[in-house]
Amino acid sequence: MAILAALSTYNSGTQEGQEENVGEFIVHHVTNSNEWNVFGYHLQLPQFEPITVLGMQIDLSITNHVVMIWIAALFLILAFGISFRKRSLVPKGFAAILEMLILFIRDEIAIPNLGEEDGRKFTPLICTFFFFVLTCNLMGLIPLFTTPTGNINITAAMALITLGTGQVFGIIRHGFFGHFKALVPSGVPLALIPLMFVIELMGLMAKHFALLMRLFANMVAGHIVIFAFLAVIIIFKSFLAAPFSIGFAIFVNFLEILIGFIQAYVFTMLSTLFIGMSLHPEH
Amino acid sequence: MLDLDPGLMIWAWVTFFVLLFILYKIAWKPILSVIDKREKTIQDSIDRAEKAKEEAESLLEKHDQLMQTAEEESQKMLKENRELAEKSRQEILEQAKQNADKTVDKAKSEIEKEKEDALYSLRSEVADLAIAATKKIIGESLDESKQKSIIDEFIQKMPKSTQH
Repeated sequence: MAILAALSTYNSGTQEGQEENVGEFIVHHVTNSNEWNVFGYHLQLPQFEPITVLGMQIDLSITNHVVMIWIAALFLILAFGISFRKRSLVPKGFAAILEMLILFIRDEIAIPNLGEEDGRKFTPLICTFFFFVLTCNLMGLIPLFTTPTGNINITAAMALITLGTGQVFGIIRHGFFGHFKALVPSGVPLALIPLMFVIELMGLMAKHFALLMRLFANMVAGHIVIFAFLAVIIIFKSFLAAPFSIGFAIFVNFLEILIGFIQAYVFTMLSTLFIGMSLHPEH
Repeated sequence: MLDLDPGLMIWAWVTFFVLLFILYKIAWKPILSVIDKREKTIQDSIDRAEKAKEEAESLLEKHDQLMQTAEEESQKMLKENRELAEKSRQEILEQAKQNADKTVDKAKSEIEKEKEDALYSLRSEVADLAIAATKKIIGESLDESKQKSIIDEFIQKMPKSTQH
């Protein structure tokens, strides 16, 4: 550390400009772009003219993260397609691992939160949530790929699917008025009902906003930390910093694997919980 | 980094729902049905095993009961036989005793008779001897009938203990 401190004072003159560059580099890495960096070759992805719907500019260009979610989806389809080609009563190998995860999702996430019947009905959706989020989370740790869940728009889309599922099935189950009436807890004085309704509605939105922010922030933070550690080498302009920064970067990388699983689980768990709250209010 | 991009969101939705649909077709439906089938198979096996166990238990109980009845029966039979044997033993013993008693009695009476006969003959012998002796002493003065009556009288006068 003493050497590092000495190096940092030695390089203090050039540090200002470097830090800016590093920051830019990190932000560039975690943001969406129109190109895919394949082995140093910047593959330009097709761009379309933004279309305007209801006064909103919608840019349907195939950006880097769009490609990433497609790769994630394709990977999942291939993984499941190949693993479950043979439909035996007792699966083997990779299929057994996948089946264990599916069973875990069904028995530990879906059924406790949604009840026996709804749990079984929603298991496909919840499984898709889990495996899609998990794949997206872990993708960024593989070179050439980026983390689509590190983009707030993707997590927002996922959280909106949770919100939409809860609301749509809640309305189907309890009727339009019944569903929104259930937002207000029973036993509230009549005069407070409008206020409570607004508060509960805001609470509903906040829950889902927290859901999308949690996943996004976790994913982005991990990548920023990895690059920040690596950037120490560039900032200090010394290979002496390399063991320190690479060691920590590898540590954070492993941590990211753990976080990728945990966040996929948390996202799935909370999504199920929120859907369950809409389907079975007053619990 | 935090700017909203509706296009990306639309792509995410499209991708997610297409993925959900395809995975539902190729993965979730078959896997979940296989799991259900397997769970049903396991449950059935457990139920069957349970039933078999119950059956075996009831059979065992029946067997035990049977064993117990057999045991009781044999005990009863043994007891009866013992009683019977005891009874017949007693009877045989009784009979033997009776037989022996009878034999003893018979022998006793026979002995008595013999003794009586012997005494009788002895008595007449003694009388004859006495008469002969007296005849020798006093000559043949007295006739035979008178002598007999005198000896009889004599014998009657003898102490009772010497009679037999």
